[in-house]
Amino acid sequence: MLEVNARQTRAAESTVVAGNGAGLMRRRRRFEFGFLLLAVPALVVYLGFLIGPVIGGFYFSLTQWDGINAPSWIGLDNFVRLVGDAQFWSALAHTLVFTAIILVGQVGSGLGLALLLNRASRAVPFMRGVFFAPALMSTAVIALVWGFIYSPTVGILHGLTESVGLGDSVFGNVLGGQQSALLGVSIVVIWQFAGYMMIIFLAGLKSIPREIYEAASLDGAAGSKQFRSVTWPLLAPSTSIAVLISLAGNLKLFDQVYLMTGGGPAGATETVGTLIYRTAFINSDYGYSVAQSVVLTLLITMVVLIQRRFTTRRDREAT
Amino acid sequence: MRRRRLLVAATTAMLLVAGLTACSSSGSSGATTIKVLGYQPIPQKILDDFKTKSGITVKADIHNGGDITQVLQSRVAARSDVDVLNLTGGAQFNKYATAGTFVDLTDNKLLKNVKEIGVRPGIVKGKSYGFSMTSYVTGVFYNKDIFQKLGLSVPANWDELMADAAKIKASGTAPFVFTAADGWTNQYFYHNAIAIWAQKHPDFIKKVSTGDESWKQNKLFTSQVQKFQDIVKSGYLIPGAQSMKGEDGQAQFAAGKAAMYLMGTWTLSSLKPSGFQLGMFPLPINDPGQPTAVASSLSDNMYAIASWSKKKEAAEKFLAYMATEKVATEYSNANKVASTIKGVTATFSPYQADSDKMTADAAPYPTRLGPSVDGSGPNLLGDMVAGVSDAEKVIADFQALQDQDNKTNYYTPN
Repeated sequence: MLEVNARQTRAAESTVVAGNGAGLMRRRRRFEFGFLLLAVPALVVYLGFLIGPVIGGFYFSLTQWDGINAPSWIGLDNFVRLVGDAQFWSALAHTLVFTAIILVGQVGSGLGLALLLNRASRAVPFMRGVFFAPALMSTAVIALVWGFIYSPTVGILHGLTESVGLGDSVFGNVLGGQQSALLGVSIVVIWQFAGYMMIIFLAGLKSIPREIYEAASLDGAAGSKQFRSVTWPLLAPSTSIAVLISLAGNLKLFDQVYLMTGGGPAGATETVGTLIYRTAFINSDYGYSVAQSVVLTLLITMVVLIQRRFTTRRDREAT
Repeated sequence: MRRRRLLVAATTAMLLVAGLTACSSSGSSGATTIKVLGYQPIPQKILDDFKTKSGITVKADIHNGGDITQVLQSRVAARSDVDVLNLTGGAQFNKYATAGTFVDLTDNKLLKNVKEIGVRPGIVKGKSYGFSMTSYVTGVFYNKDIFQKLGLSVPANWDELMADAAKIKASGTAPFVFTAADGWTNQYFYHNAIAIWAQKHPDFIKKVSTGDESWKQNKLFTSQVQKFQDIVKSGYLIPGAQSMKGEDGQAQFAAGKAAMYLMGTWTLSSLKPSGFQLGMFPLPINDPGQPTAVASSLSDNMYAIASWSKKKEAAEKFLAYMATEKVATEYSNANKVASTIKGVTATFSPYQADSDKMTADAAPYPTRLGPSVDGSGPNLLGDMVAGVSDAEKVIADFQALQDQDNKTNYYTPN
């Protein structure tokens, strides 16, 4: 009898469990369905406005297209043309040089400003606001302000150099020189986003526990040694983010160059971004400009992936 | 139960949205409204008067800051809500015309009010798709006071121009404005060379598009590029030319910092000479002993009707109104440019006397150049100023742009 009761109890329990399991499954299925429903609007927007154009871009890169008339299929011709296009490789080289200079400048100045503000005791919020302000300004306004500083006729820099008898030097016409123009635009981009990098580093510095510095002091580490052994390794995650943002942003550098030099003088500051614009909107060669965009996209993806791999390993080692 | 409620709520929301959308599209029912997308401002008085006379409201969406190319591209591609299009002539107009963007106006009587110079750029594949409201001549604006002070006369040939430039430079003033940062402005150093050659060799533009001829065979163009190299080598360009923007160059000329400024007459609407007399003469590309070269002209302020417009009749009425003598005069005076509408003799600038004289025999600049030659070609002179190119390379690069255009389906003469 006991055995029968036990068997019935077990059967009842298993039924309850089975029943609960089915209920759980149903609930989960309902939950997943609901979740999917909620995700659909965002998914449609994402697929329609991001993934769709990317796939469309790959298609148009294989066509001869003026942007309005029907595209004609030309296979890989645009990419073959790209291989022999000196202008494209020159623009790519400028893009990489810009990226290298700006990356070092932005990360270096951002870190420097963050270290200074981290040690300051007065007017910190005000200074933070002042340094961050350029990142909030419109690039058009920045180009106008710096255009006025660099102008070879009415520029502040030109006036200053002329007053000390150096009017004919490179400082008198920064954007007119083959090398100085590239450096001149880089300085503007560094200045514009140094405050942004500063915020990233400042957040990283605030998250380093004070106890570690105290322990390091007790062990005799101070000044640059403390920075090398404590601050810099523990800032690794912030550095990774700063480098990633700078890399991705500067590989597609466009607006500052377009507004300040238009890619000149004589293509000295032409980036892949400005070349894509010119190929499409000035020369009406949309198919080829999309092929240039595809190569730029692949390049950015590759560089960012390499950077992520490198910094993830370093972060892991640091922690 | 809950699901049913959800369904009811969703259906109600959809009906509400649909209802609101329907209301918004029929909200302005009654009066007709047409939309103009373009770059040349239309005086509000013209639009108001048109509304009074026809009952049609015109909303003008004007982008005169240089971004009309991009705006137009996206609006035309999307067949957006626009009825009248105002765009530049040449490669851009031809591209849209061949894509069926415009209504065929070939037999429309409004074109009878437009001079030949305004009708010609609107003809693509034998049909008229639009017309230009204004026309311009290009040449050399000069500071008469500087010329007078130095005892210089208007040059009748290239050697005289160079002799004048040498004297101006010696006096401490820059002879020529050059604004490489806005590449398109460079073309006025060869503009009339291309126009005169095309006038004398009507098949050249066609032949160069098929590869039967090359830019090297255009003797006027090649010689002009060589002459420009001489200008660069002689140091006749304004200091800072290689990074100067168009508006800065104009300001430098207006301030008397340079004696000559190569540009088209559209510049009269914004050029304000600071206390000196302004004159204009055609760029004398000819050698001594040859007849003085004429200026080049262009009419590229095109108006057309969008082929997908649901208010074509109202759009046609508006263009017909614009093409009347009275309205075109107002338009011309407001924009300070010469009109292509018959009977209009607008006095739009105190400095137009010289350019008016040049208009009659000016050679029309061809409207069938390839988009790259037209768009990127002028930048090549800037390369010379930056010291990274020479005349020979510029001509070769110009031909390379042509070769590239020839691989595309850009519209060329039949």
